[in-house]
Amino acid sequence: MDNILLIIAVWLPLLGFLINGLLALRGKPANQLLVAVAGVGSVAVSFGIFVWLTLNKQAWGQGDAQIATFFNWLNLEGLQLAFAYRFDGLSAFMAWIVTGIGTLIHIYSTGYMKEEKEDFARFFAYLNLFIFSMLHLVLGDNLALLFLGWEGVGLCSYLLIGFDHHKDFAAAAGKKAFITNRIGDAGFLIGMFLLFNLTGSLQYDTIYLRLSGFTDTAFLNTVAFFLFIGAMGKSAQIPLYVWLPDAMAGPTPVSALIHAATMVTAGIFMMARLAPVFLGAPETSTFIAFIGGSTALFAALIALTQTDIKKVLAYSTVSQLGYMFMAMGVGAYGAGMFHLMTHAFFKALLFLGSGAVILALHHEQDMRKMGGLFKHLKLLAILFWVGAIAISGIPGFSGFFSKDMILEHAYTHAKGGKILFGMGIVTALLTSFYMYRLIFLTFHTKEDAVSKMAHSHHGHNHHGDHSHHGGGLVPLGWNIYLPLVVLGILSVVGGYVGLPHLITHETPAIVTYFDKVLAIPPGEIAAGWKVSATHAEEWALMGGSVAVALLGLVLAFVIYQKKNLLPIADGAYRKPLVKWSFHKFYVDELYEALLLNPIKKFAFFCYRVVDARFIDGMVDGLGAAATAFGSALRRLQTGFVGDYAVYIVVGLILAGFIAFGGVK
Amino acid sequence: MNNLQNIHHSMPIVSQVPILYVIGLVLILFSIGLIGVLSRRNVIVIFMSVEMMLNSVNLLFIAFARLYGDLGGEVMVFFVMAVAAAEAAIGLALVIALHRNYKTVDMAEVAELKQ
Amino acid sequence: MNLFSINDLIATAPALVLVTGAILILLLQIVLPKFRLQAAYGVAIAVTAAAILLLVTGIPTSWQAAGATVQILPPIGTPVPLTEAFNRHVLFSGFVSEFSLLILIALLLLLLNSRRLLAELDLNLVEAYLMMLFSAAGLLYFIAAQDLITLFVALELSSLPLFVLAGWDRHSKSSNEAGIKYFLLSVLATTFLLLGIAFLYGASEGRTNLNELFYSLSRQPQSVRFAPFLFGILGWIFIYAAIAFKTALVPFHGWVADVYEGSITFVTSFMASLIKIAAVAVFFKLVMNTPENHRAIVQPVLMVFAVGSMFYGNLTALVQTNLKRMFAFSSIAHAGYMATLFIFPVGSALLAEIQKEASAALFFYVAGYAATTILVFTVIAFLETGDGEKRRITLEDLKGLGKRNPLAAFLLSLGALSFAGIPPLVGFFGKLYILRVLLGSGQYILALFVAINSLLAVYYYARIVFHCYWDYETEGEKLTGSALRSPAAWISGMALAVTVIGLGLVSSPVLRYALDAMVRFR
Repeated sequence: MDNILLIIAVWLPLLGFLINGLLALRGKPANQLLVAVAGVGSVAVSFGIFVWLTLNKQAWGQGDAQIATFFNWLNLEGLQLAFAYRFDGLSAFMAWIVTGIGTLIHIYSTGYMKEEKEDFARFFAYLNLFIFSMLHLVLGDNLALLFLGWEGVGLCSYLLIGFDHHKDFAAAAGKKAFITNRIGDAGFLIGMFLLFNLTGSLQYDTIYLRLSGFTDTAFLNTVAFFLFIGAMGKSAQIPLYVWLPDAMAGPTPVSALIHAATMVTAGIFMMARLAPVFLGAPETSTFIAFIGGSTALFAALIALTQTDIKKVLAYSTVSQLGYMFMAMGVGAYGAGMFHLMTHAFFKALLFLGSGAVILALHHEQDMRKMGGLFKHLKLLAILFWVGAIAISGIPGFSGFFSKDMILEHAYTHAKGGKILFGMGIVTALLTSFYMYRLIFLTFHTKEDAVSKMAHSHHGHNHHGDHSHHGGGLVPLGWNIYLPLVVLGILSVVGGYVGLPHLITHETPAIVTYFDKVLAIPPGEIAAGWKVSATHAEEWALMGGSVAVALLGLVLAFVIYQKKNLLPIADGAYRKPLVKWSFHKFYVDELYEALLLNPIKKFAFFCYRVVDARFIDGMVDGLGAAATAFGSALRRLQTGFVGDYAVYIVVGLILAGFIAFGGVK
Repeated sequence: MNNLQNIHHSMPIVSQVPILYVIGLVLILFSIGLIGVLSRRNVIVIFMSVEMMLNSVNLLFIAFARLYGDLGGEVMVFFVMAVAAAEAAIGLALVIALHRNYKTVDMAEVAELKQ
Repeated sequence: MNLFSINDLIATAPALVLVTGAILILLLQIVLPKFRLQAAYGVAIAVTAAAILLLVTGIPTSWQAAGATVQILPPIGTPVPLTEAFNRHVLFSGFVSEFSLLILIALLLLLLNSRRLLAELDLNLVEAYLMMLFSAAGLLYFIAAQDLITLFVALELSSLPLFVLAGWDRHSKSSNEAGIKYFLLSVLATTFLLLGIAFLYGASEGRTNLNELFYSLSRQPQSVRFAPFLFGILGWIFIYAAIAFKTALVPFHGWVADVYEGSITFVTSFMASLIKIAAVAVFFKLVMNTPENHRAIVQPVLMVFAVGSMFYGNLTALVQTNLKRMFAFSSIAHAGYMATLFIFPVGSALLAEIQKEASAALFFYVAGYAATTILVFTVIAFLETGDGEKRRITLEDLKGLGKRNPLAAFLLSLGALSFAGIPPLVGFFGKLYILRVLLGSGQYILALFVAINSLLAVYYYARIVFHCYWDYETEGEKLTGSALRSPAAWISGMALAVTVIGLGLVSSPVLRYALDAMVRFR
């Protein structure tokens, strides 16, 4: 019974996709209520089933996984693959987040997208398909299903990034995400094949079993490295993060659901799922921690000067993902998953909140044109403050607990722990600063965006659809606020599952949970990974992280509220660091200069692969020779029957030569 | 030369005419037809050449049927003739339609679909 | 030699039902002055459904095997008993039954679309159904033929109506041209088929039955100094060439692109699906019936055909802009993939096992290929006819289609992705099973060629998808095309889409079914 429910829960979103897909295929505006019921309902019911299954489940330890086989997909010698779903501590955790936050964001979307009459059904179809794929990713019982889901969420991501394909940059961003992820996927596939080669199976239990006695660190390091390349692509780590900020071209609910709360955490989830591999690979793990730390710092630096509200949040996401990888890299799996959860709450809140601002301001995303919104949108501003406090790590809010746990684990890491901690704490300062900067610029500074807006909109109505609202704010409905309030509450209370042991003198509940749940042999982490820290040190760490959070707040307040400084117009920065930050450290340009140009010189056709003209370029470039052959061969098709008859006869003669060539 | 002699010896003789001669005749007729198909551009001539090839094959069937005293080959000839008649009917209908549209039966000019 | 009995008719009942339907349409048209298209359409669909029912329930084949007791619905997976009829001129086996089923299902799906499509073109004549039914009946006999004489007659029965269908649009120059080209080259191929049959007849001391032929020829010494052996080899080459012509293999491919492009699209999809299914089935059957001493010599020829088709088809498709032509060349490439399954290692002890696996892989591949082909050509047909004007669809026309006609864009992309072999669609598994057979039988080079070509092909298929969904700047008039308007067409479109996705998801059971259905069918 439970097994059937599990399968239903996974497949329900597909039903929503089919209904909405068929409605969208009719090519005319669909009944929004019907679409909303199908779209939200399928995800909500699926969430309900997961809740029910969780409540019903007795034990969460290793070996307690509930496995429901839907059907055998491939049944060949040497390769058995089933559509089987695994409901255990880890996947239940993820399924709650995916469907829970998914439901909230679906509700939000019914308000956010209601102006898109023609594309309403299509949007929900893609969202449902995304949830369906994501559930395969987290609940699949083998790596093949994980990969299927991995590709599926990727596909939905491109479809949703390029949702407004009238905009050129949206389509270009979709392609950029596509290419970057292909690089990651190639690495992931190699890792998967290596693992399959080693264990002879893609099924998790078998992999765990075969790995338990395996100690060839060099091999596991290699496997872990390739798997991590996959994670780099999907979870936007250096150097493959470039697609995520561009992905903000998609509608805001998409940014919240896919590019903040769920899909981009797939890499973290994958590492937790394959914890035995990464635990057997200490060198790669340290490498991962450092990549995570650098990404956190680097992205936070860029976020400092961005003026597009969504871009700030996007770089912030990259930065927070870096934190998570840092945690995973130092072996603090519980802490990483904990931060994944709290981040999902507050980042979804912030994204949805920014979406509400954008919607209210007639699709204005530039923070320099905002300000003074507090008196118009009080509830929204309060919710935004909650999110900002949570992410900046002020005690009592969720972000504090998870971030502090990560920093503590980083500090006690045996290899380079102090450096990692340093990166983390600086990032925390920067995070706090750019978040409050965002808040002040948007809600507080004296300028009143609404009156400014009313002024400019009389001049030119470039958003024809919305002009009938006049110059004022677009009213926000209950379906916008409800998800925000729920997420706001979660952003506050979500952290209390991980109260630090300094206060409770016990291992945090969430860490105990994950130690029990993950396939980690007990005591594994302690050996060689950790150095101990004194109580005083730990108090100092905590104090330090609180201090930088407050410092960030004060700095932002002084600069943007007190002095009322506005970020200067594009490219006008003079100080190098600020300028670099504004230009995202010229990474896109760096890639152009370091990677693209030399390759262009060496091999003309390789350049074309990465060219914006993507597929045409591929055909022109990589397939240049093929096309030349093709053009030559098509000349054979003269159109004259006699020639075709000649081919037949020539073919027969040739056949005679081939056949009798080998015969005495 | 050696090969030819072997063929000659391993195949019995059809009444008076050696089977090799019949095969030779068939191949000659078949080749004439084939060359006609390859070299001519008039649809009707091409089709006539094909008919010639068909009939040369018929001759081969009959020769083998006589050689082995088996009726199958002769039955086959009847089928071939019947089918050839049907083909001719359809083929000529197509040619008429073609002529109506193109005002020619020269296949070199009926070559708009290409490359 | 016994005269034929009622059992013979029952054994070939599915084909006979189609012929009866065709004759019925012909007669009703004469007898009833008010006989309408609607009725012909109904009759055609009814007899096709009836034929499918007969085949699925296994009544015709179990009739003789189980005496008079009719065994309804033998459980899937049980081998269908071998049934001979018409004095061993036709033989029904699991192999024949499953391919026949495929042909009938494809016919049904095509017929569902037909009325709307033909009506849009103003070509909706009663005779079209007549032709399709006759041709399909011919194909059923073609697959079942166990005697070269029957093989020839059945091939002609299927081809003659097709000549007419290819030139169906009498007033269109290109349809005309397609018809005459197909006719001339087909007839030429037929003469080679006959020459081949005559050679085999001579080489085997007067045998035309495939089974007898096999045993007679397999006793021959493997030397060209032995004239019958030489004749045998020549015979096989000529016969293979004639069937390769129908399968659309290089170098017998000349007609494919021109005829596919020139014929009305509905007929194109008939040729590309039904004819291809039957041709590969018969080709496989002939290869199976080629004794090893002959096969060792002829096989390299097949290898050249297969590899040549893959490369030629894909490379040429790469530079095509006309959609129908592109799919025509891609169909040559697909024929090449399938032809790799006709090649078995010589002298292998596991030959029977390999052949069984290969036949199952072939069945799966051609099933997926046919479903995808019908899907793609149906969409093209609806796109062509939507604007009231008949027009040729080019890649350029597809730009932004995802916006203007979402259903058509979705179905077309689905087809293209399946052809390209993207998991989890059916095309991926078709290639996977082919590769598995090739690797399993140690033919690594062929496997490599298949893999290279699969990669090559992704380029032009992906271009279709990208044009539909990512390219929005179009100049000139915009193509919209009709949605699949009639309910029947909609059903068949959706059924095909579900098949393309579903066959991928449940590929294992289908493959197993095909494996189980295989019994010794020599």
